[in-house]
Amino acid sequence: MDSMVMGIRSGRVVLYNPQSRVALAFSWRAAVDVAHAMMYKARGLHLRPDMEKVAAVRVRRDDGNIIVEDAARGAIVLSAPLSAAMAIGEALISKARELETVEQADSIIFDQAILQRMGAGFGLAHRPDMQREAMKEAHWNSQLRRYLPGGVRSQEIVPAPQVIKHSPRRQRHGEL
Amino acid sequence: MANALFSSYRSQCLTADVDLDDSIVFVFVDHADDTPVPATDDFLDDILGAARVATSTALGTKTFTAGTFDAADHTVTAVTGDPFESIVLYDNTPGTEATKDLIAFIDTATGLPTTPNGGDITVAWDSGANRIFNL
Repeated sequence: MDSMVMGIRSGRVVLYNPQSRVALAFSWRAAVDVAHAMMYKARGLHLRPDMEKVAAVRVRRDDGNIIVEDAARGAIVLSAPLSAAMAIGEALISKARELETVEQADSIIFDQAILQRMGAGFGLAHRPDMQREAMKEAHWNSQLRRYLPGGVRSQEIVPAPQVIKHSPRRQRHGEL
Repeated sequence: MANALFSSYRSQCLTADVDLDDSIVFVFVDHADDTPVPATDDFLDDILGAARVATSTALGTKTFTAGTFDAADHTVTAVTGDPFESIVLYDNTPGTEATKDLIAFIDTATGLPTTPNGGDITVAWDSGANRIFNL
């Protein structure tokens, strides 16, 4: 399998194959759809109808490999075994969520400022700069109260835990 | 979606029908088979069996301070099966799936989605002020 490079550039999630020198760039929404398509194909599941709408690429399964190709040029961007395709899919979703946070920064800051005003002091994003900006808005924006239709809502907070996957090898060696 | 309490659980809080001192467990849920809906799902039978990748044992060292529910980080051993995209906490004390109350839905967590590899999977609750959740 070729190595892949993944990143965010100019507001797009970029998937680059250094060997074939082919790159594809997606919006975060398209990146999530492509990732789901790869992961679903890898698992042999049928795609939900909305996933077929990713027009820029074609995702197919061929002889135990997941192949992502540029629909317009026919160039293969990725050919990976199923397990690798799953891992790349997960990484792609992670990058897409990063980009989503950046792209929707204004509304996230605004929403968080409203939450701060309501007394629910928790972060909607992990970025400290956005949290600082939201705090400023909460303190100084006199328009915020107009955006609380129906009054103060439930203030439950369910934070984000961490899911840690351990290697099965550790278990065989009896390391708990 | 985002992390949330199930609406039915919030209602139960008003009538004291769910006791978090009971056996509280969590299940890893594969959204390809079924996506939980916090606004309408109320009991475990609302999550298809096929979507439940692995279920934990009961949470330990639980605390309830100032509306904050906390417990020790919890490890599910030797997890195999489909990738999962969320974690659902529920009360495992009632005898049937139709009466096991759903409590919290977590789809935003570092490490989600995750594909099991046969190894252990640990859920480390948030170390901030709100822990598992805060009412």
